[in-house]
Amino acid sequence: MAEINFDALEELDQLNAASLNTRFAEVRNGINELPIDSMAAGALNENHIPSLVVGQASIRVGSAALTHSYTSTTYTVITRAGNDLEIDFGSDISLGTGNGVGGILVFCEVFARRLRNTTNADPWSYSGAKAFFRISAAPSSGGAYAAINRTERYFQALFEGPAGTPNYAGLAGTSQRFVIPIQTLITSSDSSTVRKIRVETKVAPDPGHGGDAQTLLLRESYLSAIVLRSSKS
Amino acid sequence: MPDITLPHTFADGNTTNAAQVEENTFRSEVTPPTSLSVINGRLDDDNREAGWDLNYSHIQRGALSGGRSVGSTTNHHYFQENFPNFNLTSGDLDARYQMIPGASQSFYLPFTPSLVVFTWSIFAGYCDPTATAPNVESPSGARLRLFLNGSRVAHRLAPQCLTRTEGEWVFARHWAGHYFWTGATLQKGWHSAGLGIAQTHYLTNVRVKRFDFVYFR
Repeated sequence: MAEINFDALEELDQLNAASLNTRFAEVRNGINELPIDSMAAGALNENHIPSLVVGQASIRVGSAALTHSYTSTTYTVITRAGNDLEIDFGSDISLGTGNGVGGILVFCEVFARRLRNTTNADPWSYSGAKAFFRISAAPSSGGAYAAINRTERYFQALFEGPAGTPNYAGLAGTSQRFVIPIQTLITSSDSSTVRKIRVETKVAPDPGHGGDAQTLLLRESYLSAIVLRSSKS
Repeated sequence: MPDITLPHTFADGNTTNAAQVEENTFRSEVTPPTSLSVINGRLDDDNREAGWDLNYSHIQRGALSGGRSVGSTTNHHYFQENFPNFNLTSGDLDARYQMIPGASQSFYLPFTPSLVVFTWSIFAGYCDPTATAPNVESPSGARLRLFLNGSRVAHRLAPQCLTRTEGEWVFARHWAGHYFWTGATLQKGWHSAGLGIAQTHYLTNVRVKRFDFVYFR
């Protein structure tokens, strides 16, 4: 039992090497094996505990004034002027309580200025043209990105109202200007390790208008992540 | 710091050495500490008996993280007259913005944290009877920005939306954003953060969903 019971020397007890060793050992063993009730509730404050944040990073690509365009119908990373909307943590992060990392909290916003077809015509009424966004993670530096499917978001390019309702046909030529937010917590159930995360986009054609290809214009986009310490390590 | 390994074990027949007895009791300058002096504030996880873990009851409230969320249930109407001398170029000065109730707050950091995260969600619609026809790109004359301790945060500006003489809802938009505050300006003490608005056009209708901050040890 790790409790310090110092056996004091009484008169007529022997004071010798063994009695000294015994008493030093009693105190040493007690300090080396502190039991749970040795610590009072609320005994630890910010000076005693490590940060919850193992690491963090935040990046921005694009600007408020300039757009960058996407036409791919398969997911591709958002990039502007050679800078991908991607965070590289610098080393593989092993997720899970056994590794001391509880998860990676991710924040993302993408400013989608406009979605229209490649001839710069606007989507038609009941347009099915869409722009999609999602977060993907790579387990290692050279590892393949895997989508985190629950992060997929999209908007539809429909602008004109249905017949008989307020008709916004006059809005042709205007841009949608949506901010698409994505927030998620990546845990060990998504991947045992994470080295990089990134934001990807794709466009879907307009099936209501002959399958027109679409062009998506983006402006400033943000990606941030916090690597959170596990409650147990 | 490892478990204590006492430097001296005594044996019968040896000459008594007071210094060795003292070193077993107190050696303040030795690293790693190998005396009983570790009880003077240097106990750590190695001294914990196997079989139990620290839990939340051992940690003071707010020592690991803290934060607050504010919002508003009212509609806020901002008119051009509220922003004299503001314009989108030379008149775009911090002092000409008004902080939006429910989208701003003052808060106290009990220690210097490693990170503060701000997140927000706000809705704004822009009406202007003088706006040009909506089939022309016509950015609104309103700006929504993030402010921290009275100064704007670069690149945290709401996407500029469009105005329309009617049907505000067509171009009303939510702005959901986040900002990580780190660096030398992040210090223990009182701070303020929030979203501010300024405009040159007729009317902006604002509805605040939330403005949050969370600090991390």
